[in-house]
Amino acid sequence: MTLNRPAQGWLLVSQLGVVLPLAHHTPPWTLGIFALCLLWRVGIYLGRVARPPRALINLLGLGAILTLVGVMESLGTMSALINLLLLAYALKAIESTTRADLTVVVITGYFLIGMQLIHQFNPAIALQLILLTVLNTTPLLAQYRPDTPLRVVRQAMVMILMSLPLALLLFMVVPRLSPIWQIQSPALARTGLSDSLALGDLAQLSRSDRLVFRARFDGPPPPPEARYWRALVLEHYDGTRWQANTPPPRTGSRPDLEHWPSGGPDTPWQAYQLLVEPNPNPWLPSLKGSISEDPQVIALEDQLLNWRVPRHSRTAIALLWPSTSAQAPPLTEAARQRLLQLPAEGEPRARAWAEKLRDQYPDANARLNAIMAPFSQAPFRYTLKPPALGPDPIDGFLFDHQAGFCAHYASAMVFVARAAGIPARMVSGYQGGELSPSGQLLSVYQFNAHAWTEVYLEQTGWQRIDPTAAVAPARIEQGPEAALGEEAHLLSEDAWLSGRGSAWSVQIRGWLAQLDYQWSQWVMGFDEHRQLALWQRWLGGLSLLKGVGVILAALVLLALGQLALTLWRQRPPRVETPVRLYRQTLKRLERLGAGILPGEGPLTHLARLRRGHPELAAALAPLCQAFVSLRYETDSTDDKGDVEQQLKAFRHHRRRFHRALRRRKPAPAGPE
Amino acid sequence: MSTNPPTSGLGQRLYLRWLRRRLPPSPRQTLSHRSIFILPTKGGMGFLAMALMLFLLGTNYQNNLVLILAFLLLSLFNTALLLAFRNLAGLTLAAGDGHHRHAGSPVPFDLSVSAPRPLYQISLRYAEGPARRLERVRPEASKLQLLHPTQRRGVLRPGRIRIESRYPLGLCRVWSHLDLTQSALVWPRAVPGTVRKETKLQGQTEHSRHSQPGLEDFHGLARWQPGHGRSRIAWKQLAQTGQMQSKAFCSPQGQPCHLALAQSVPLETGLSALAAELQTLEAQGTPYSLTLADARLPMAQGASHLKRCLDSLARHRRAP
Repeated sequence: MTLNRPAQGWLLVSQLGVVLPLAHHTPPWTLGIFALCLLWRVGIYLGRVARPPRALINLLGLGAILTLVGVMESLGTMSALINLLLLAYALKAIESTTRADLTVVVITGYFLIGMQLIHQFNPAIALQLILLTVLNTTPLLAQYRPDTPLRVVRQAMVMILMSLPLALLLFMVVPRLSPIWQIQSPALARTGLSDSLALGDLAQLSRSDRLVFRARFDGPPPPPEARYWRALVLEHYDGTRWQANTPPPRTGSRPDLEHWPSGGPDTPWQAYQLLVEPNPNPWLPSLKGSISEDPQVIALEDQLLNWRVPRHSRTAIALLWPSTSAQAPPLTEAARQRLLQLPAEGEPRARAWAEKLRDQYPDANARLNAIMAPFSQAPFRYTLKPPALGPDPIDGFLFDHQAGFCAHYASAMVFVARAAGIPARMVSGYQGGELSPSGQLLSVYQFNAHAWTEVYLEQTGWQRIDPTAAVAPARIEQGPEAALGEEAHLLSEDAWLSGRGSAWSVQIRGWLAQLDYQWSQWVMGFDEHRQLALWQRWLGGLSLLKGVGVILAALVLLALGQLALTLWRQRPPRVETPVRLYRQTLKRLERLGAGILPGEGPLTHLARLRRGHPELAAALAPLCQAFVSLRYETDSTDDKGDVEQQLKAFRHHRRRFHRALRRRKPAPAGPE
Repeated sequence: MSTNPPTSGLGQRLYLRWLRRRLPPSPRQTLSHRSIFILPTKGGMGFLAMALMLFLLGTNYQNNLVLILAFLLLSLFNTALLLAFRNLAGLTLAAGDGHHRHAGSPVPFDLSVSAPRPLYQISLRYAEGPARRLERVRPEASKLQLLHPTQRRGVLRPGRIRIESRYPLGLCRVWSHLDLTQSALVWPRAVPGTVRKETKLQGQTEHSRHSQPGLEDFHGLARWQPGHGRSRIAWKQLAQTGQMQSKAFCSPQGQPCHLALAQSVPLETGLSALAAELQTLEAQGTPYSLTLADARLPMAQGASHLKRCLDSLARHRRAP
């Protein structure tokens, strides 16, 4: 059985639809071969070129496989698989001549749709999934149903819609299994924090609006000045870069509340949940002092949290956060040395200034304030476009240019504090976040990336000091765009984002964030625990018998529903409009004693009326003629507009006749 | 003698016996859940395998969207089953006549097909014989012919009609086997040969080894009348003048003859020769009568006489 033309046309469309979302996963040569195949198919479809010889296709396939083997290393297994499937998809489509071929191509298409979804998590993708499934089903349907393209695609849509309830039921009841084989972490785009930081480093992150995580608080979210999400501690400075230290895991793999620095049973812990986007890095940004009992997370020294295995999918994690500040243990001598480390030379002016402050303010607290003091005054300013700083960057920043952003301020702060004898470290992570309209959900984007400092004071222990807050308090309270003023457009090249600051866009983003969160919670995050909880809630516990019973009941219900649907669609077709309308008119005539007799046609009826009720017959005649010509002199091959025109005339005559009837009505009651 | 489709193997026989009980033969039948069978095709199995692979993929990547896609496709398969069932349910088949033909040429059986709603891509066929594919069955009854090949003369019972469809996605095959109790007579193959031929006038028996050439001398044209065969219409004249005229043949109204089975040849050969002779005489316009062991047909001429004679040849039984 050969392919019909509509099926071939739809196959072209659906292939394009299936491949487009995968385009950024594939190297250009794969796309090139695919485009070539597609063009060739268009040629075949239009009857311009012949089907390529089998040998050529085999040759192309072989070449593609060989090339793929060559670049397999650089692509990773999953990408290589996608590429292989794509090529097979394209090449098979060219030589498709039979229904069996078409089925193979379409089935491959479904699988490719699945491949698109692997690293996708947002709700819009669900829409894409459904649309593409409809699109991919259409060629098959077109092959088996000779109909207009519009009707075919509508039927495909109906089929998918009919399938949705069962799909959702399966989604809820089919038990989730744990992964069957170990997957390599896919190569994700590595935008995000890095484990080393130079002075100008975080500026490019400010241009990225990629979501990093969302946080949901059970109670009220922390105030803006407390929204510091710590990801990394950077202690070592080599004169240009700050290097993160990899702190050892805290003793005891599971942190228990008693041993945690902020411990004590009466610490007011606040529960919150993070929904973290996939990221190849292990660090997990969290509020200071947070702990988690989730085994996926390990707690490190310096009160940091790390993933045990970097996440390649969106993951929800429950955390506890002590809202009172922690009492840290005293520093060891080694740690103290580390925290006072400075490069052997360089930055003479900064060092001299630190020496001066050290002599001037013996009290560490006062010394810190003295370091911070100039930052809140002119000429220091906050900018994402700092000037070049020269060989001694900190000197250049502090004494020549006085312009920079968080990394500059934090670097300078730590440097001077250390030089002035105060143990200090650089912390990088995220600061702030967009609060959703409901006020519970905080979305943190890459442009929230931030660097600040922590200093150790003998009296109070570790203390967070954010010099950026001194120079640009708005940066902390309202977000980066508020701090930048006219420079706000620098935050993103994206036009949509340049409106990030305006109230309505924040509002819309907030609602979208809410939707995205709910989606992640209930769809993407619907794992075995949630499934179990659902069972628990609905059925009060899980037992095999109950489970089987519920599944059976649900299936029976679904089958009944689908049966009802089919029966409903089996209803006898509605009487055609003209017939229905004419019957109504005849009923009125019946009341006047001039009804149609059984077995009488409209014309014989009219003829009979002419004898008994001539004036009625005269009024009815045009309507009757219109009805007869509409009903018996048209058929489906007639021009649709023509029929439409006739129907309009028919309705017109009917209205006139009814008016005539109404005018006539009083007559029988009149003189007799 | 009847030519039923050969039943091969025990399984096939058991299946047919089960079918006979489940779907008893009847000249008019409507398909319903009792009579519709459904199984996935090879493509359908591939589809299910792909859904399973997606499930594994989704499980392994812990990605619920991929799982949803897997479930959606599984559910789509279920929908396809339902629609496939609906595509046969309600289809009504009514038996029409079986046309009589010589052995060797396929017998057309008339069928009338109707459905409560449009149905798509239905193919009909006998166990043997070519498939007739209907792109779309409309609600109003439509007539069609289904061919069944023939090998031997006798009563042909074509057996069950196989009604099959792969609508909507080709993932599953729905089918039914209906016996509409149709039958047709298969005449012997027309092979010229030895017959017993007795010309009435001369009163002597003549054995002819071959049929005589037709003496179709064209005589002239006459007004066409209903009853004149289509082969006699003067098409050329019709095209030129627009008048229906029939060609009149002036065959020397040959001597009417009695035909009977030659005893000297095997039965089937004799019957074939008789069939050929009958056709020849009919073409010549010579009246003929036929005498067989269990049938006597009087001297006559014409299409219906020919058919009666051929029918009795088809029914002829070997004397016990």
